[in-house]
Amino acid sequence: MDAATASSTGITMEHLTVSYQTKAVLVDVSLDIPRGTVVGILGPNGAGKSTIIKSIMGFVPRDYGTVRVFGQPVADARGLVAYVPQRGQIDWSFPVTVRDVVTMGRYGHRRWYQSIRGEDREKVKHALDAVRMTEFADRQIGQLSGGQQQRVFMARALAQESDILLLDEPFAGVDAATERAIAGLLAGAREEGKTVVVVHHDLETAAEFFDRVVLLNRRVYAYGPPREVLEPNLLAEVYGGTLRKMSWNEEGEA
Amino acid sequence: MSAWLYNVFCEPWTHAYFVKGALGGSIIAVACAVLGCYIILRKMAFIGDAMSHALLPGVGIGYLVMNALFAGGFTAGGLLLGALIAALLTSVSISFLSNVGRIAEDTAIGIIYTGLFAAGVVILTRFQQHINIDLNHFFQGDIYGVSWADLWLSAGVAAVVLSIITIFYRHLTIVSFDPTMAASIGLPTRGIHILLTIMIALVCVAGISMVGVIMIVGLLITPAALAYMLTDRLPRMMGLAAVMGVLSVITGLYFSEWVNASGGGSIMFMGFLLFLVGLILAPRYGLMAAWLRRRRLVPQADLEDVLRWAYEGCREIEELPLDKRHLRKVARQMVREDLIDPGPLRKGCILLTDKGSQEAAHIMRSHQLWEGHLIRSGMSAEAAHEAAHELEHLHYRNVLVDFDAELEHPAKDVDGKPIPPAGSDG
Repeated sequence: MDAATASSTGITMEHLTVSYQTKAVLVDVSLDIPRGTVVGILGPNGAGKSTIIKSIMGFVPRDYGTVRVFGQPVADARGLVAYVPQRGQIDWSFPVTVRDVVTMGRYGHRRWYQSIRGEDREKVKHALDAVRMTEFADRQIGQLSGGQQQRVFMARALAQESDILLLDEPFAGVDAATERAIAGLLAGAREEGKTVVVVHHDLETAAEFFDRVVLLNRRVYAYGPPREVLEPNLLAEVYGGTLRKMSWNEEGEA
Repeated sequence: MSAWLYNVFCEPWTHAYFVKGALGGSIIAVACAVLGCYIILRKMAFIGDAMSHALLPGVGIGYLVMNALFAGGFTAGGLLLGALIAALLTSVSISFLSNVGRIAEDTAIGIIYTGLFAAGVVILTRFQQHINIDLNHFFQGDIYGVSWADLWLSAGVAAVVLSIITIFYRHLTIVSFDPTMAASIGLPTRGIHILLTIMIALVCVAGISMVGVIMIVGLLITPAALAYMLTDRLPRMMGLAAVMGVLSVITGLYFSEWVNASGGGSIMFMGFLLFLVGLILAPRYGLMAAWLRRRRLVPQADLEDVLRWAYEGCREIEELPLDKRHLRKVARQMVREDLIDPGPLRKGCILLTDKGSQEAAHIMRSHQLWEGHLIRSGMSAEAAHEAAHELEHLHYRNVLVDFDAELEHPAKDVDGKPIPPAGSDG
């Protein structure tokens, strides 16, 4: 691949097909997400949204097709990706503090025998500042509000300094302040030329946050700028015509 | 008296078997407790239980092979190796079985460990005359029969386990806390799981001859669970778990001396009692703390009513239209929240602190704006006044901002009383 193409290539999926046991989760998904774009993935429950994110990290056994990150197969792209899990996947009573969690973002930058350095602590501090969580740094993560918990994991992703950010339902059930903070971070990531993929549930805010939107229900129904994609007929088709507005989706496979 | 104290507490230490038991037990308890923190955080307790039982065939075969090869020598090495192989086999077959067909993980664990344990029993009873391990020993251990070889083995195992946990602390923690993220930065999550499995097998082999299989599982889980009730920090949890483990061993040994009961059983029984005490008394997560929190729970609405009455000048507790006992509970909560002054309260007076006055002003403002809004919406003044008593508790800032705008920023309410200005933080 020549240098010019490589510099604009972010994440490419070609004919990606995934099934769990006998159930097809993704069918023939082809997406080309250029470097530096913020993409939202929308679709009903069970549409395979989280599976797309997991496949970018290379965790999903593929039946068919390829996933490439910056032109490389995903297996070689480990460490380029920062991942913000759904809130429901975290054990909030785990005995770690906010600072401990954000520091985990620096582990990937150190070999197993190297310790965390002053430079890492500095970056952790910056990340905490960026999400305005510095005053809670020494709290156990269970002693926070839902929005604050979400911001801790945003800070961890920032501390990772990865070129790709994957967020699974970051806006689910957060307060207005956190929503603004996350939106600000998405904008900041775009400015720094990072590629961001966000699983999202709210059709109304999609146009505001994303450059491009994927309408997904096991296969890709539409992919493009929000104004073109979020079109009533298409939405009716994807959501089966029954749902006008998606319900809250706090947990579970989506 | 002092002779009695000496006999009860010091005399046991004059016997070598007691000292060796205390030493060996404590060493293995520390290793178990620290490792146990990861086991309970990863919710692997059942796997630990299964693994310890499934060691039996490994131990038996290891013993037989070593006996055949070296005519009775190096059995300790054979036991360790056999146990490690059995542990890995258990772990691999559990994850294999729970990934095929319709068998869930807990079912897989149940099948594998009883199967392997049964194989061990068959081997041990068939080759009874060649194997110097009896089943009773496997279950109960013999804390008073600790040999120098046992001590060295447990010290070596503890050193290895504690070193591994120190060196790989970061990796073990992140894999336990967020395996997806750990894998995304390229950590070998599977390898780290195997490392944990190996460590469980090591402490089991070293500990079984001392306290037996059930007690070793207890030492892995109970002190760590107790420490988890007491703290929110992993390093502190490990330290506390180690202390609790050693405490169980020492008190258990005393207990078994005093009542002349099995050493291993006494140790774990004491560990269990310690856990119960912690369960009840733990400062934040204990039963007592939860009970106290529930008892102190005061409806926010009552608290706000008191605030507003006090704001309107009602100072005597006797004047308030609330059940007196309930009112005292509300007042205590308000003192804790720094809303009223504790000094005057003792004399039956309610005096708001600065913070209390601010909050009271906010509630007052809420009441007046709600009243204005309801009247403007067409409600009679009387009904609006009644309804505002209920609705004033909905005092979200943006609701009040809307009402304030709707009523064109009134300075006085419907009765001509001044409306307090919006709080500075609103």
